[in-house]
Amino acid sequence: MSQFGMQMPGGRQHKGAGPDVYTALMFLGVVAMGIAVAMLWIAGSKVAPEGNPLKIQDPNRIQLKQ
Amino acid sequence: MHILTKVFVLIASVLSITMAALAISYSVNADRVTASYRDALAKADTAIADQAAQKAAHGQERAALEENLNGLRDELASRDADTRRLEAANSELRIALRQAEAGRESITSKIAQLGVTTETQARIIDEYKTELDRLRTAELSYRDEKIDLEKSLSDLESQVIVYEQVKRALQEQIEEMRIALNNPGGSHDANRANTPTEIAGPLIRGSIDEVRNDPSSGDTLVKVNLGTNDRLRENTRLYIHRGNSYLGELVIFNVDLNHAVGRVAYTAANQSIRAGDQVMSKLGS
Repeated sequence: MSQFGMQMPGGRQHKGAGPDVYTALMFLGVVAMGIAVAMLWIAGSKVAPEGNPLKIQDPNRIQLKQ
Repeated sequence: MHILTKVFVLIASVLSITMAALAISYSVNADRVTASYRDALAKADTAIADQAAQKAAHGQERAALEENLNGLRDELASRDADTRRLEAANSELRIALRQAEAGRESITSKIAQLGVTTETQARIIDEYKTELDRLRTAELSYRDEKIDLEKSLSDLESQVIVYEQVKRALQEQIEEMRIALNNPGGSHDANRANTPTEIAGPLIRGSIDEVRNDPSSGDTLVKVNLGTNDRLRENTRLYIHRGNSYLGELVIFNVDLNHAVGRVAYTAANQSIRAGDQVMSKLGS
């Protein structure tokens, strides 16, 4: 990719690259995804059996966490 | 790329994988929960409909049961009334039974008393029979005695009649002898002796039994039912009448005890003497 010489920001920094906007964006993304995962985890635990959001409900026997 | 970026990418990829898994499981669970919820709602609706139907049916059944209950209550009331009526009738019948038993006992006692009374009356009747037989025997003996006494009495009466006749004859003889002594002689006395005389004493009444004509003398001869028993004697005068009609006179010339024959001395004008005419010893009362 470097041989094409893309004029994208931060493209010139090849040695010892520091945190850049992508890092920030990734950071925000990770934070947002973390928050989303957390909220999804909480919501999923409410509709999942035994409070485990990764478990699937038995269609014939719906169990909700009390 | 900074190491943090790579870390963040790694973390982001892990988080994305995790998020995917969570999203998948969440969606599946949500779908299933939703489906279950819908099924539950449907079941609830069905249950509510069934409940309503059952309520309606229950209401109808209840109405029918209440109607049946009312009917049974009415029947029970009527049965109670019948029971009370029958109990009252039973009480009345028991009272009547007691009264009948009391009447039976009284009748039984009366029958016993009547039996005793009958026996007593039978004894009394026997005694009456015995007494009646005795009285009949006594009556027969009394009648026999009475017949004997009547015979004796009739004999004595006959004797008395004879004695009275004898006495009368003797009195007549005494009277004739007295007359003869008082008038010892002369035709005048003889004329006086031939004049018919009336019978002294109480009035004598009789009747004419027979009338006949004497062919020799042409006189009318009369037989009367009077004799010496009635103080009749020869040459006495009797007056003849029929009812209130004076018919004539007759003079007795022959007398016996119960009859006498006389000659009609006078006959009233336009009158004739026949049997059945009355005679009396004197005129007037």
